[in-house]
Amino acid sequence: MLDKLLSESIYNAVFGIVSEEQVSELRLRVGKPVSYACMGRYNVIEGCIVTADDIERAIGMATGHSVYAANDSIARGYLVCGRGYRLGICGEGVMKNGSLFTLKNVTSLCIRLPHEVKGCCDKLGEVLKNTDNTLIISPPGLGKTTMLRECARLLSQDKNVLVLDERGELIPVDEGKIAVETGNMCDVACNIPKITAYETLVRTMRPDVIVTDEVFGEREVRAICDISRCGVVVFASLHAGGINEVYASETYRPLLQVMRYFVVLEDVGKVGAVYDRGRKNA
Amino acid sequence: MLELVLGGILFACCAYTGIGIRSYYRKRKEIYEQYAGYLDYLQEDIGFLKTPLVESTREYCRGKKGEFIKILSRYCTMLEEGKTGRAEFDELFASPYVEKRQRKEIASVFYGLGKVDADTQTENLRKARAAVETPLNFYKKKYETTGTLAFKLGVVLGIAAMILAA
Repeated sequence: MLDKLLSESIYNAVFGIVSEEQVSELRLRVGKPVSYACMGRYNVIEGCIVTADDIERAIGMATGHSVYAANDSIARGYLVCGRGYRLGICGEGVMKNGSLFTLKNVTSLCIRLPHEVKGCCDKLGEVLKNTDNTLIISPPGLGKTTMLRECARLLSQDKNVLVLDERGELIPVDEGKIAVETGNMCDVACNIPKITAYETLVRTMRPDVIVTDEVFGEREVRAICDISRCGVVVFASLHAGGINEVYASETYRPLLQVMRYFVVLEDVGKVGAVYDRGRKNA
Repeated sequence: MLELVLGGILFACCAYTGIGIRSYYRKRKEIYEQYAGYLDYLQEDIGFLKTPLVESTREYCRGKKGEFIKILSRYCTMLEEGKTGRAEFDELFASPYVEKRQRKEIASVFYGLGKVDADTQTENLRKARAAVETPLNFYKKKYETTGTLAFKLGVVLGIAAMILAA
């Protein structure tokens, strides 16, 4: 998929240096050289300048050359394609009836490449064994999604796990097939807004565990609190610098009441600390 | 005996030419008919179902034959391979059955497909469909008049040549 998403020159320039498994992110900015993130560090390939055609090609391939079918997603600033490649889109907004309708003149793309890292949850042995509400915390790009993906895989060996994947990157589904390894008891609801999924799928799919990415805003926090009161275990992630930021935020503080474990990442894929009800374990 | 064989050959040549000319006009008519049908199909499929372009196009082609269907098939491959430059689109319609001045026009319609939101796309398709009405009627008429005439003339000339040769 990536070889089609990117023009030949960009693909060869990047993947002539590193393999796809090593790259977590690609940055395409019109008129600027391509850069990629490898082990949390950005590298710039001087001389490989991105053109507007490169951006247009990537968007064309990601939407199946059907922008009309993906316009809602574009208006939310991203596209998902293939086995969970997420394209963050930055451009000029077009407003309609007071709300953002679409983006035009796209100038930047941030392509995130999903990875399966088996063993990245080795430090979460107790968390997984007890299977209680867990919040993974870190700034963007440190591997929260990868860790949640692995949690979903391990938990779904013997529990009904429902993955609520609003952006289609946690457990990617490509043409009706789950594109990463999961256990036998994993259900994936993708591209459905979290709140809608919380309201409907908790009743209809009767999960033991819900795994969901990037909790955002008061409504989602409230929904998670409600779900955990129903007796369903929630594994979620949150963008934050550390547990103190969660304490400090009025929006996210209610999570402290319902979450038992807080896993804080300190570097790419590296668990810094695990808190059990506010008490530091490791 | 030789005259009879010669007469037969002359008849076959004339009739074949007549059939060829009629077939040429039939193919031209068919291209525009299928193009119009494709635009109608897309308007519905995009407007209501928002089906991706390749999927929609392949569905339209299912079970159909003809020059335009071959073009559509090449179009799908082009999209899948990411060959979406303007030049590729111009080349796509370099068919002897599409008039030169209309090649660019149709290529422009295809080049613009899938690049806008559903409402704008449906509106663009409606305009393209309206524009195809004139050449479609022209080639339908051309097939019925010139094409049929050429076929009849070919047969008559063939018979006349056969009689003369005999």
